[in-house]
Amino acid sequence: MTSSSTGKPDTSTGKPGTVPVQARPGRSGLNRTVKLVAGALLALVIVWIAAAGSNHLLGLATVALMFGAISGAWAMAGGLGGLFSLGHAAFFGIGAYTTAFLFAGHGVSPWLGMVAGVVLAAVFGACTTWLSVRFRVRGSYFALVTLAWAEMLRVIVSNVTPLGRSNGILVPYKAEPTFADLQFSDPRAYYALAVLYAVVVTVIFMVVKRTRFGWRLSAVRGDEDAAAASGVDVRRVLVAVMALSAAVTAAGGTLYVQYMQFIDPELAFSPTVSIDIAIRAVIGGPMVALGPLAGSGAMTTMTEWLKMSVSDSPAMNVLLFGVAVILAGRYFRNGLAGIGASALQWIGRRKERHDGS
Amino acid sequence: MPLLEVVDLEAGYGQIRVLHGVSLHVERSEVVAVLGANGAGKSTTLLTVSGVVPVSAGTVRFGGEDITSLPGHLVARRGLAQVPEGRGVFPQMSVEENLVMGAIQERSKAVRRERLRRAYDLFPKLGERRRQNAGSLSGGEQQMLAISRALMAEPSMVMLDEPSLGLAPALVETMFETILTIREAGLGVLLVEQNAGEALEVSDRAYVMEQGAVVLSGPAAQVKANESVRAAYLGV
Amino acid sequence: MDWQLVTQSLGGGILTGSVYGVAAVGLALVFGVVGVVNFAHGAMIMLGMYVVWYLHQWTSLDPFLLSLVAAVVGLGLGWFIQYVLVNKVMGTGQEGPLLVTVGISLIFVAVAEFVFSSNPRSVKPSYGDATFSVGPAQFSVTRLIAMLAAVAFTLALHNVLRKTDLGRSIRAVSQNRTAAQLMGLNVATVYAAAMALGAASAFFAGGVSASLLPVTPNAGLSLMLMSFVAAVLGGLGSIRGAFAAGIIVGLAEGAGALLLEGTLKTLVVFALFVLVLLLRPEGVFKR
Repeated sequence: MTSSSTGKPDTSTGKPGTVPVQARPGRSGLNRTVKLVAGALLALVIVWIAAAGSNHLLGLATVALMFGAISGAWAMAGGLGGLFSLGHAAFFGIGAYTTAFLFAGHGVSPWLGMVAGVVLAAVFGACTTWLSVRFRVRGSYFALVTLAWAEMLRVIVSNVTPLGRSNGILVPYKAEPTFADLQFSDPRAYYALAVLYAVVVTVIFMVVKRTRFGWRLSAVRGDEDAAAASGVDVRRVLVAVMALSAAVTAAGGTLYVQYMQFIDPELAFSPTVSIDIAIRAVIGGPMVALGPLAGSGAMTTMTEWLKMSVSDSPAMNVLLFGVAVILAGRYFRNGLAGIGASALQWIGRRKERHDGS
Repeated sequence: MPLLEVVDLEAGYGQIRVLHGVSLHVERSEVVAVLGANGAGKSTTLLTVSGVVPVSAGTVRFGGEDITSLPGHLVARRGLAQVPEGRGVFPQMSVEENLVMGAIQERSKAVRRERLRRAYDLFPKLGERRRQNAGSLSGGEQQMLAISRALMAEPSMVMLDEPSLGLAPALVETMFETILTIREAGLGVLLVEQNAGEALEVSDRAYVMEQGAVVLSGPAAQVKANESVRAAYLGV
Repeated sequence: MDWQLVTQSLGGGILTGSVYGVAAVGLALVFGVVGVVNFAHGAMIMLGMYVVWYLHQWTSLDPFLLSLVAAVVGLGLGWFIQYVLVNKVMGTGQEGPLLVTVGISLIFVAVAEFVFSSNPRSVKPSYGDATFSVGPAQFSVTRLIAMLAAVAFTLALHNVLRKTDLGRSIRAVSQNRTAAQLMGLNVATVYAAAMALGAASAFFAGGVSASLLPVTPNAGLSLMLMSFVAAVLGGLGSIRGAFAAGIIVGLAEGAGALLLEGTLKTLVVFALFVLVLLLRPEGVFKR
């Protein structure tokens, strides 16, 4: 994968996912090997945390996985679809609130709540995106409009009494939690659930990327008019990818609220949440299936490290994220994944030179 | 030493190479025409010489100095003016403000006033419409404005991109007369034109471009007499 | 309907709207010239609030006078941001400027939290308790002065853009970038100047708001959203349009307060926003 960090301006902006075919012997093999190794390492870490991790570490890993996966859902629209959203909190919040409201208020199983939230979020994502796409709102304006939609939901939910207004909803913990209640006494169960969710999201991402749908997305992302000219229904493709992304995000909202057992308008809909979701992918690499998870892991690790060794002020964290986002915008448009790919390329070239001499 | 000397110029947009080694030169008090079909690279040549489109290879010398890698605004400040394709007036600014933009590098108010007066002498129509928005002018008036604006900087050379495009025949006449006036003032003129017949009338020399390269050059009369030029551009 | 309430809400809407207006002017200017939506605009507004709060603590000078100092700080900061960061990611699509301005916004909020903590602060001018009446409605003098300051600043900015070489250069670049370059204008510098002026109006809007709203690290967000709606409504890029639209947004919010309780009044503004998108599909986002 070429990255903007090679210094050569990529004229086909916004589609860093397209790999220029370079006849470089052994490179793709090396690439695959490294991917496998990275995947195996990741699996090892996941298993190790489950087996030997403290409850604290387990909790951190659970949230990092959940938000990494949600960020992966974001990347379907924000990366593959080129629809940079700063309003994914809307979908996350819809999932969390629907579940919490149905479960706490009416005793409906969170699994059903998840289905309801997923449907609601998909509809909301489809409608709002249709409006934006229909009226040619793209790029930065799209981001701002999504921010406004999420704010709108925050304002509404803060004023609706059945949803607890600004106090939010406390999810009751059943005395004997069952699988149907999506509550567990063992923190490792939540962790396992987060792992499962992350796997599912990653698989969906890979499927989206590699099917005809992904090809259409990449065509639209590259040049909308050209894509339309070659018979792609631009509006439909963009609405569909946002609906999918919203649905997957909402499922994450369900898991989160069952895990945290509490939700309020700030936790659900605030712009901080939207930005958090987006930047995990931006830092990790929004075009690669494991990018958002990697970004999430990196961010959580950094947060913890800062807390332990520098300052426990959350501001320190935000400051560094700001710097990271600027660096991503300025130099590393493909995030950590892009850096990794560049490093691989460099190693490949060196190896080649070595072999050749 | 020529006023403008372009040697083996290569340039393009992104990955697409448009110019494949263009060489040309312009002397002081000389009108040089560049002819060619749409997409031959004429406009790109002008924009590259002006530093708006970056040079990938070759050199551009102006007044004896190498300006190849100079950014656009510095090229303009050295006295190489250009009237871009489509005239490039600032539509929401008044005629007078447009002219003042031409002399924006000149800080003295008195000098600006003097140059404004000369511009209005050259084209009294502009004086009449000084308060009007440039966007509301007719095509011909906009062209006069664009040329006057370029002259406001008192350049030593002007490059004109399709100045006759979309003008009524009577205005085309006036426009080419203006070009001769500019030459008499000692400036070099590089004129890109589709209207080959008229352009060759006022030019001293001419280049013919095809697909990003010069395929023919020489004194205007000689180019005019060339069989393939006659067939392709003069419709004879 | 209660006549007093109507006057109170709509009058208040105009007073608040003028502050949205001056903030929107900066957003519209940056968008119209640089073609970038400045996501750090809200954070700049917030920093303007803190500048005035801090200076007011220190000197007890009039907060509206101090807003001018805030504007000067914004001028410098805006220039720096554009020149050092945003200019470097121009021309590679919108994602670069988006990420960079979002990053800047995060940094600003973090710095404010570090330096000033997240405890809400407030600024009270010497005439903070004075009121005046219009018919049956009563308004604080502070809000009136805030409006006058916003109008004065906008007029001043308008004049800079109309009457000075800098202003002409900025307008020229926004109308035809290539032609402006051919006039010898350095586009990067002009962009920096436009961002400087945009940031100045954000800082000024913040400075003025410091006497009206609690000063917190997150105070800029809602102001930014309101000013964005206003900038869009005003046809992005027009100074007068943006200011007038700010007043309209304020009025919409005032009307919202009449119809809906509490924070729900914002919904009317969002509804207005969606309506604008629907009614001006092509015009709104065209440069």
